[in-house]
Amino acid sequence: MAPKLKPARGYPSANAVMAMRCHINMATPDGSLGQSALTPAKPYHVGTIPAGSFVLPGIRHTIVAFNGTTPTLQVGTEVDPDGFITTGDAAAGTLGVTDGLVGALSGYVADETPVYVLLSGTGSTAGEWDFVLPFYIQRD
Amino acid sequence: MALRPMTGGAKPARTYPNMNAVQGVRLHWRLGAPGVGLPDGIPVPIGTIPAGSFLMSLAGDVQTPAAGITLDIGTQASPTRWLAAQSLAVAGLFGGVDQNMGYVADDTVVYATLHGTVGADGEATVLLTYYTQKD
Repeated sequence: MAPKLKPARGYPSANAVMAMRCHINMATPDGSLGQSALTPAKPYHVGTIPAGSFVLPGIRHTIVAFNGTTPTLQVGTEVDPDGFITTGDAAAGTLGVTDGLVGALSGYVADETPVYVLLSGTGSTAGEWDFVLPFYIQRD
Repeated sequence: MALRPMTGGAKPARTYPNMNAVQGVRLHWRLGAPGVGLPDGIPVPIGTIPAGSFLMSLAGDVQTPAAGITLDIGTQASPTRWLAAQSLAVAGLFGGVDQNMGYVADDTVVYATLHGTVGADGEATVLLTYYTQKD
């Protein structure tokens, strides 16, 4: 049975900026805080952007640097793993906050778009990384 | 009538439990009209970021310049964490300290601190945005 994806979420009557988020904690993920650990090379489903949305630039915070060999993190779709962050890869080993992150899929998305985060590299047993991807769903 | 600075405890952390929306905390400092008055050099709590949030951005706008006045936005322990000595002498937009945004583990009270002797006029707005959902 194929795994279920999270449904697209919005708030029908609110002209608010919506968002999705993933908080990766490789050493001690706390599910009650919405944290997950990643398996390298296995895309992890973050959420689904509603059809017709406008995807805004993302922002990430590397709280604990990832160890291991060439750890990289990408956010995108299964077909285009770096569709929403093309410049974000190197941050897995570098502490701090970076905003204004975009990729080839940023901006208007015509269809419902499941979003995935993908960890590459090997041997990452430590690392904490938080990412927010905002989007706007109203047609106004 | 003289404006009265905000006193008392910090505002509680606020969010909207089931809504995956970006939230905000806003300061509207204004002299001579409705708004928040800030005493010279005294941190004033303007809102609280809920524990576990992701702080996204700070944007500000000086609507009415105030010569010789600067503004800090931060925490009690780090008063300039998100905005450091921003001059309010020139009208226009300004941004915050981007590298200090991001994840906050605990409820985080946001303080505004004004520096300088105010005159008759001055107005500025600051908006901090954050996301509270764990998704």
